[in-house]
Amino acid sequence: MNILNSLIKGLPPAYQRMATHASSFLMGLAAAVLFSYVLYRLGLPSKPFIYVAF
Amino acid sequence: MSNAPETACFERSALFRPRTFLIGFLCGLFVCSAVARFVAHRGYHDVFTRFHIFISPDSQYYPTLDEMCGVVRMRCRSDQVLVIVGGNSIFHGVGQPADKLWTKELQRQLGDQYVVVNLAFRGAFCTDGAAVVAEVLRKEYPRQIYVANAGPFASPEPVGSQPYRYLIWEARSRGLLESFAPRDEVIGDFRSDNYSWGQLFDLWSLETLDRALRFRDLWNWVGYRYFFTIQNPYTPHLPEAVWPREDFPDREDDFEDIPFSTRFLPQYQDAEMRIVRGFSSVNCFRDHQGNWRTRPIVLKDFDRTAKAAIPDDLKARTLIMLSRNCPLYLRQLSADEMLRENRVYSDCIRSWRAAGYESADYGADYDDSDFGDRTHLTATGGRKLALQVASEVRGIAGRLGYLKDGAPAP
Repeated sequence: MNILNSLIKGLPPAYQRMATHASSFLMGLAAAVLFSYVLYRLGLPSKPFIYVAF
Repeated sequence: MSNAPETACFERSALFRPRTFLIGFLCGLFVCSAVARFVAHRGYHDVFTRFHIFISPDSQYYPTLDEMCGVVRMRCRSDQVLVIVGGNSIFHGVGQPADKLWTKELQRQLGDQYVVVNLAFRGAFCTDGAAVVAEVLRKEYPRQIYVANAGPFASPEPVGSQPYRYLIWEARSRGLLESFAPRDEVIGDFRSDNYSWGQLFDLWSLETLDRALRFRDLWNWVGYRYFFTIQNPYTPHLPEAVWPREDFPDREDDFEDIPFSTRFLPQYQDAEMRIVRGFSSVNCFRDHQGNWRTRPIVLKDFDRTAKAAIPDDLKARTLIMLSRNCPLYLRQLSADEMLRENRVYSDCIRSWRAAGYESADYGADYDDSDFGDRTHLTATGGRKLALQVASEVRGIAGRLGYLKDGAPAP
């Protein structure tokens, strides 16, 4: 993270702004996918259904 | 003040802009939801026989409503009559491998005018998943017949059964089911009797979030096509635990591989006979003339639930087949017990018909070898069942005028 930070800070200001927004946007996308997955797992029963013939 | 250094560090970060992050987060949710809606609606089960153990709750895979409708959409043309098969493990085809599945034979018997989709699950009621799908698709496929099996006077609960009840909640939450007062009343009573307000809130919030975000559709698709993320008893170890579910074929065992002499083991005889006798003994009493009659309370309760199970306008296209036990066990009943058995089946068929459904029983004239155990059918039994159901389906299609307009002549 620190390496990325310093890399971006080493860019010209215009590129620095673009890179900052791009990285924030991508982190937002990743967080959305993670949030969606957490909701999916929360909706599943903790134990599998065991079928017993009757 | 103690947060000042952290905040300063956060602000100095060249990687993070909160507003852009939030926009990315909202865009991500929108894209996930849009992708899930698209793939589930179109369908992604290219090869499908039934929801076998690797794509069913047995292995922590819970098919969604849109996914199941997608299975139908991929297979049914607009000029075909849709036949949806529901019910329990018997109609699911336990003991029949994919190439000997009774619904394949049913498709062969009915021909290209019809398309048969087996959506039955192990341990399901006739009102579970497949019935929900049939109702949801009532306008998209108006020429459809729903076929399911049941035991005699097995209550067709309008709330279905676990673990398949989530499909009913999903359909209700999205407003996809017909408004039908008798059913709404039963479901309302069930929810207030069985759920605390906290559980109802959990259910409501999860369904509301899923309605908007479609996370179940998204991750089922990912699990089916790309990688599965849930450990389950059928694939407990890596790497197969994460293999996409589409890589697992329908590997149902074949009853016909088991020698007949070992199918009906003596050590289970007593238990099985208790179940067989229970089919009729709990429902019948002997009247003053010594004849067997079905208990009035059983008839009354059944009538109430059967009338509430499926909306009135869909009952006439619903065929309920009552499953008989293997004759090997029925022959061990006394003549009097057999009278009671026949009485309860004939009364149950009459009750289903009185409630507005089509109904018949099967299995009474089958051979011992048509059964793999007390109740499940072998491939030969499946062929006999397919022959009978095909005849019933053709009769219903004829009565409802499905083959007159816009469809090929019979």
